[in-house]
Amino acid sequence: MSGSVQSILARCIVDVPFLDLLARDPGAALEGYALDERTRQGFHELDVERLRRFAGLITKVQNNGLWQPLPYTRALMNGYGLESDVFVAYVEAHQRNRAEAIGRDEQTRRFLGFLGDYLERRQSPACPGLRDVLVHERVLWEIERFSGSPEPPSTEPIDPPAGARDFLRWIPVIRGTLRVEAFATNPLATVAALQAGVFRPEDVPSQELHLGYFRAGGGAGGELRILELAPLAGALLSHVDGRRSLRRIVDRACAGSADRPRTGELRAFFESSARQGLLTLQRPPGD
Amino acid sequence: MDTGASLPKVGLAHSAYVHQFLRDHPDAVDFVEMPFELLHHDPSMIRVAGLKPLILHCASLSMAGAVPPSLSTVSAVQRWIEETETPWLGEHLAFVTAERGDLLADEYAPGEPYNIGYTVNPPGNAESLDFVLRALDLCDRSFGVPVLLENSPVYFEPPGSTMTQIELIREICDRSSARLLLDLSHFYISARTLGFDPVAELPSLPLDRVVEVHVSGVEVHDGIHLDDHNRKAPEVVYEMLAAVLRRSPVQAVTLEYNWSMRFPIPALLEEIARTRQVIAALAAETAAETQ
Repeated sequence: MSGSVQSILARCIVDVPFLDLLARDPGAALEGYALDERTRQGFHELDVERLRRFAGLITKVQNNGLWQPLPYTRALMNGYGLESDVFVAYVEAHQRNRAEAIGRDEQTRRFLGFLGDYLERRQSPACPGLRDVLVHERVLWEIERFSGSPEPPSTEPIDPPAGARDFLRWIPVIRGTLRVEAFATNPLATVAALQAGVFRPEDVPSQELHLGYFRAGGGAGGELRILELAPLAGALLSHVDGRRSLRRIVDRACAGSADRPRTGELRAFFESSARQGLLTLQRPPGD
Repeated sequence: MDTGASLPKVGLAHSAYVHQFLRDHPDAVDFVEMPFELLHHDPSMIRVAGLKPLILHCASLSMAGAVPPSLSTVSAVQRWIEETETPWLGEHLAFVTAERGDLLADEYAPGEPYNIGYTVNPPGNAESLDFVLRALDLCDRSFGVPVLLENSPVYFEPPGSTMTQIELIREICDRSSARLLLDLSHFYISARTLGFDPVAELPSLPLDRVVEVHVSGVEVHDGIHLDDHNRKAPEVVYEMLAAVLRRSPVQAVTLEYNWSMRFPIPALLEEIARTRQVIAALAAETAAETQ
């Protein structure tokens, strides 16, 4: 009998659809299991939500190592009382991960994706700063883990032609890894407040902010720079892919907007970015 | 480790921060409780033994499970008992695996049991008692050190139970020479789940069998009390610690703050000091009574 009880409890923990069935129709769920009447009644009366919460706790503990790159996301989730709910929701995906025996990087990537989607779907109450700190820490992790980029392109002298039309044919190439993210609050300020132990949700102001996370190329280990960008600058840089011309970048960045930067402004911005080591400007192929 | 000293030793459950903590605070604790599963995965972690004596802790033998542990698991545990020179092995009164049944056989791994990868409190009944006694017998024959059984937190009443967890523990102790690792936070959680007073109910346990004690935090979510090794122990746990120390031959108190790499060191030092204060107060009380 205890063997059957253990089998059912184990299945409840690792098989979310079965636990849902037990909650909804215990008779159907228990069909085929050898149980005496008293034990069967015990399952009918089982507090399934406690079991669900326990499965979430197990999932949380089995994912403890994933918090290493997300310390401030975790701090905020704890502060907002979300951690337990998140891991109850993550049980099914976690059990799939276990079955696939995926590596740590893939575990982290999947968890980050899940957590981002979970926070986007969450209606209320509001958790000021949480979504943006998650995005911030995710970017830092991805750059740290995956930014072993090839050697930067050779640095031709910046000598684009003076004529506007020709200038817009030139191609900017990022000299390393650049990620541009838009925020509704300032994640750097939130992290600083958490580090200082003075964070209060009511002190998180709404603040449209664009940050560029740049690490110079030539292998991992280069210094990471976080740049505060004007919205248009962020939009322009986010469309730099090493193949698009400046004209196509502007077209994409300004799609749907009547405002386009003047060529002089555009030139000043990209030449300044080049002088700061962020990118190079390359001749169009065939020139 | 000298387990003959009169005052209980104070130690930490291993976490990523512990190695540096021991270097920065060499006299703060007396031992480190090391998980077998970590050593099995990364044998280089044995290097902590160069800084402090180790106590080996395990969550793989499924002591109350219908499915006994594999011979390879038992053999691996035996290896690390020898390598760590642990005075005992702490293991859970729990099951970790369970039969899947023919109809539910994994298509790709037929015959494989469910592996929860975590310890689950078993139903309290005669069958569980037999499973535990069988497992204790296997451990006696396989290991050169005693096994301490740790009480799991009761989050829900397991169907099929005819006795409480306390009654099951008493039966085990009546029928064997088993010794206990009393997790006070788990006992507190069980008390909150089942509606009894944890301090008042402690004497119901065979406290004369308690050799090691665990202390950790508890989270409350929607009225459900959950184990949490990422926060400080509630005050009642220290009340329970004093009560147990008065009645039990406790040799070691382990602080389990090992679910985060970043448990705040000032908080950890406070918890260590708090634990030592309780021990010292009891020692002074005992000395005064014997004069």
